[in-house]
Amino acid sequence: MMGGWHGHGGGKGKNDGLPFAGIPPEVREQTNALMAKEPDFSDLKLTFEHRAPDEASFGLMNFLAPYKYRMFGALLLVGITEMLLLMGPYLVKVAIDDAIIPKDFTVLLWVALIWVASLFIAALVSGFRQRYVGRLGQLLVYELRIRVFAHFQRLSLDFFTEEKAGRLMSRMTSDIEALSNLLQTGLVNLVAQTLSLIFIIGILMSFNVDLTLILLVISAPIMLVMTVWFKSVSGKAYENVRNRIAEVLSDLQESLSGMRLVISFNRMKHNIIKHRNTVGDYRDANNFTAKISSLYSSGTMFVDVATTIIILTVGYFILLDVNPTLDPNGAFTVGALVAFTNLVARFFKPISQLVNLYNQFQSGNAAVIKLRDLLNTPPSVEEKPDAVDINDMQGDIKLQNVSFAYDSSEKVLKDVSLHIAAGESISFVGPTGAGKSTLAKLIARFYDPTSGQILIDNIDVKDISIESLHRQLGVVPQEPFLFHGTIKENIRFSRPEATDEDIVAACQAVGIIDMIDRLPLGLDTPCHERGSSLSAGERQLLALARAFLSRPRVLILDEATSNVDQQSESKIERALDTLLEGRTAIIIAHRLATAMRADIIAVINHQGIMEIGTHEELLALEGYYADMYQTWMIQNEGTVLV
Amino acid sequence: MSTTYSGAEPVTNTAEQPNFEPVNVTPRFDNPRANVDPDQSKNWFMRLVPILLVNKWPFTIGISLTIFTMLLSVALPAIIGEIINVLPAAVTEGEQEYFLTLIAGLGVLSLFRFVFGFLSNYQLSRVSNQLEADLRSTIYNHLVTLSFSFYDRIQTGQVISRANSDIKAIQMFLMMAPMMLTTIMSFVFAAAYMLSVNVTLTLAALITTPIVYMISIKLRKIMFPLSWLTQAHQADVAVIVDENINGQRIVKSFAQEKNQLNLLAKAAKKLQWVQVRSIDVSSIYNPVIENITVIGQVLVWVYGGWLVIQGEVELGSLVAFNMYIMMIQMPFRFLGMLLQMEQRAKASAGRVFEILDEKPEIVDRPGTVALLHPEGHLQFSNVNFAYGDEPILQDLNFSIAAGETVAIVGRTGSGKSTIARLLSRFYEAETGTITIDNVDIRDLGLKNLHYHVGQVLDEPFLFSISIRDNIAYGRPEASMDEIIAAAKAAQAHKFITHTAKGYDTVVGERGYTLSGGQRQRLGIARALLVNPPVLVLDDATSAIDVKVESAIHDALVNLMAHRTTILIAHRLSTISLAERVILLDEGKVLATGTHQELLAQVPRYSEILSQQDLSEVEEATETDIEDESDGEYRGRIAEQIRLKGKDTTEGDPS
Repeated sequence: MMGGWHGHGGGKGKNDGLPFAGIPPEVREQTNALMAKEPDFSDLKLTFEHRAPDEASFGLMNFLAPYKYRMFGALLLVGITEMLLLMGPYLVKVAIDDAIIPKDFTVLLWVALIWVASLFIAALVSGFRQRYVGRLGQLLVYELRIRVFAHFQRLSLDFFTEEKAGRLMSRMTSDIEALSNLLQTGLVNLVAQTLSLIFIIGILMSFNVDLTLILLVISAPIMLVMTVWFKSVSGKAYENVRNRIAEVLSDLQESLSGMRLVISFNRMKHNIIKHRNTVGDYRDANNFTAKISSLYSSGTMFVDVATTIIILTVGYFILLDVNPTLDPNGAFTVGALVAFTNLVARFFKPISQLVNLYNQFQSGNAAVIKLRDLLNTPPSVEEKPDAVDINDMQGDIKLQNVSFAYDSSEKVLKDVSLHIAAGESISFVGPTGAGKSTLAKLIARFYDPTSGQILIDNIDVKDISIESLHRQLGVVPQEPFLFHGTIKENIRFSRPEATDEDIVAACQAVGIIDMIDRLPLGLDTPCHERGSSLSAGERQLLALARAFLSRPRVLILDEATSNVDQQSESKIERALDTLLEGRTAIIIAHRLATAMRADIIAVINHQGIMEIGTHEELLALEGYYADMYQTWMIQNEGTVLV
Repeated sequence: MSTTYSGAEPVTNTAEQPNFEPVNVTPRFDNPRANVDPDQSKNWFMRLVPILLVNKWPFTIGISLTIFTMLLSVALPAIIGEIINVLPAAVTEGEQEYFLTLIAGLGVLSLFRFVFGFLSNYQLSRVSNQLEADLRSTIYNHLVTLSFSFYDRIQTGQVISRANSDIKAIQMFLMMAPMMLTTIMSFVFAAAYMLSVNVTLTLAALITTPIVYMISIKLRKIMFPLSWLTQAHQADVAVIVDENINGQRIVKSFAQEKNQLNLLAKAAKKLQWVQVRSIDVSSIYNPVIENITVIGQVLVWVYGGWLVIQGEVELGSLVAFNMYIMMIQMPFRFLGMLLQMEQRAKASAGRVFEILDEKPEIVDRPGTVALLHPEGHLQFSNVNFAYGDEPILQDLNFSIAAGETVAIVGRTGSGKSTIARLLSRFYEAETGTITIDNVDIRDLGLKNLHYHVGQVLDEPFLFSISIRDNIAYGRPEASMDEIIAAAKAAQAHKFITHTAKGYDTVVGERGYTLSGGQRQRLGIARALLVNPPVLVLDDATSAIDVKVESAIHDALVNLMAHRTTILIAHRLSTISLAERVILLDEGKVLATGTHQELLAQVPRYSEILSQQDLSEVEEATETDIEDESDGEYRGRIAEQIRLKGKDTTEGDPS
């Protein structure tokens, strides 16, 4: 019965090599044909510098500056199109007054000919303009994407921990989109609609000044006020709808994820009522938007017709006054009146469009400001201009009087000095928040110390190029981050040029190859596919394999075993023996079984390094470490862990 | 409806019935008044009829108003045409009266159109919003009745998309269909007017309409792959950005900045490529479509103008004609859209019904009894259970005395966790019986059973609500003192008070701001607050620090004195808490006795204890967003992109 569960919309993406589902069968062929035509762009090679290029501060004007002639050309084309489009209503007046009423069919044919010709030219010009502006916009957006993303890569870790991921994400998606909308349609439309409004008013004036003034004084302000009202109210209302549906969905998502708890704690009735309340709020929000948009759409139509009524009535009295004989050559004519009514709808369009544009302009402007702030944020860890590459790192690490504080708050590390000889492994133990992780992050130069110096192979890390430092350093954090892709791609991440044999060797080294071989797809198993979903321990082992593959000279394990179950932990510990061989290693662990594997153990607390030495030396010291060890032994008495 | 959760339960013992189902929230909206038709042989629309029927009056009113509005809209151009027709006479011959009457009539009509246009639109939207809300509640009500085996099978993302975009598709169809149908009807009236004026002129006016229609269809065919690929590439870019933000530490650690930049550049270039192609296509088609409609007007003016010169048609009718040309474009476009929406709604309804047709596998038997204060004597007799073809428990027999603390030990896959799940009837034993105080658990109400059997899993799921609400999950009405007491017993109070807002701290998305050990402690506190007479701790302290674990054990020893406790554990420190150990091997009880007895007498016991290389992975017990496949992930991001786009256009009625 559940056979259809996975056939969402006809064909799951992976079956035909498409990234996701949802293609109706009737257009699948065209879609595949299009994808076949798509270039690979594999020869695309961008360079990346850790130092930001010396660019002027980001702003709409200097961003567009290199393209000012193209922008100007685009605006010219817009002006031409708008003028051509207004030929129509004017020609209607000519047709009525000069052809139909005087009964002259030749004039009528001429009118038609000119009209068709103008349409033809307008179509050509506007097509060319759309293509021209669109391509330019896409080029700009592409460049902006690269620029913002490159800056992301430059920024230091503290930036990513302080900002919410969703916010940063929106810089690259919705902000760039807002700017792209502004560039591709906003600016062009702004000019187009303004010109169109001016032209229309000009034509109407030429028909009749009084009638035009009535239109401008009575109808235009009403329309303007209505549109502005609607925009401001509906903006909030739709925001509210979006928030409400987000609540409904997150409630649903949480209920589904935690359904086993819902069932075992008998929360069904409670949750049903809660969900119904959020759904009800969502419905009410929807009803409100329905109310205002119904009011607005009916309202604009009403203003349209009401204006026509006013024009017909006033126009009638004007005709009575200035041209009672209906002379087609008179000061005001029936043709002009008809053309006038025709132009009413066209007159309102630019007004509401301009209000829309104002909103678009505002969000585009906000996007510019946000992007400028982002691009102006300097990385807190900056590469020196004369930084050197070290290609053969030995891994001798010295910390000299290192102090560190996040922001300007209390110091996490105070005056720490430490020497880790090349090839030696050290583990940091001690209470949470004592700065063990910070110490490791300073050595990896994710942060710079507030004072003091860190030397690797007797060179200050600040003088080493970031690229060469990180290339020879491997970090395995607490939560192993796996990218969307296969197991193989995830391991290869640390060294893209690695061969398949290298990868298999890395898996063997950490002892995960058996597990991978058991998977139906082996190394090609997607890491996030359900069913083959990896346990926390397995994910951590993959992260270890990844670190192993990069052949780091210095390996940093930041609580790499704290979130895994005991079985995986012992596996990881065995992998560590292979990993630690011949390299400098820093191990941060709260489990003693892991910590004990290192050559030296350092107990770190809020004062700094409290005890340091080998396992035996620290036991003999009978201090904090000995105490910890005692507790642990009692807990694990009789187990065969050690 | 039989499949809908009713909330009522059969109770045999009505005296001092405790509230098995805690509720601490006030309903502000009514439960849906109808469910979809359970008859699966009916077509999708017929199955929705019961829901439509309870709304029949609001719906009828909405449709009537819409038709009335349509008639008014169709009448307007005809009157304007007539006004222009009589205008010359009114000017030259002073026949003001008829002219002004027409003007006044037009004014009244437009005022009516305004009022009814507003009312009809609003009314239809309200009805469809109500239907949408009812469908959402109905699905949710149904989802909570389904069993564990359903949630083992499904992907959360799938259900959410059914409960969201599929319902939206149905709602859109139900709202738009009447509106579109009346618009299509307006075509008939407009065409009738035009034909009454002049047949050939009508044909001339309509000639461009089918051309526009055909071009639109062709355009759609060409555009679909382009816009689909655009979305796919937008999602690709978003995926890369998302990973580089969340995995920035890994990118930096392995100095992969340049490679990632090139990865993005490639994706962005592909996006640019497909968008440029879309622009090229639309820059040809858009101007053509826009201007072809105007060609129809030119035709009307030339041919119509000639007819006016011949005296066969009046000038005002020509003006009206032009207005109708604009009006007629709409129904033609809607016709295609309506068919498309119907297809979508049908497919969506099918997917929604698939959930609603799912039957709960474990339900209360008729005539259940309720235990009020069970002692907690447990008995498994000849219990067999298999996941699919794989037998897990084979003829299992054991009993646990009331108040006893028992550890179940065995290798991974030996069926330890299954015992816990069968005990709560999350799954049904295939044969054999499980009893609590000598009552078969199948004779108990499910809620009664769950009320008395508490379970703490090794990877406790926390909701993104405050810590306080998480602890009080099983007893939302618990007082703050009780919550703190439970937290203290679970050794969680201290770290809770150190969080930013203490007990009011909202647990970060999926609980990941807390460490594994902290989450387990909250899970234990949550179970302790309910204070069930039977408690199962399924590897519940596996990620907790040694020092803290021993403190929790002290608290548990106190608490265990009053209840039956089952410990499922690997750690010796945990096992040593139990009075008795049940050694499980290959779905059977191999031996039982104290830890020392088993160590001395059963060689297999120490073998299993030292067995570290447990190759089999315990199956995941939580549905995890991390579990979604690449395809789903990309699909979700694409959906977000789509929704965002839609929302911005929704605000724009023009």
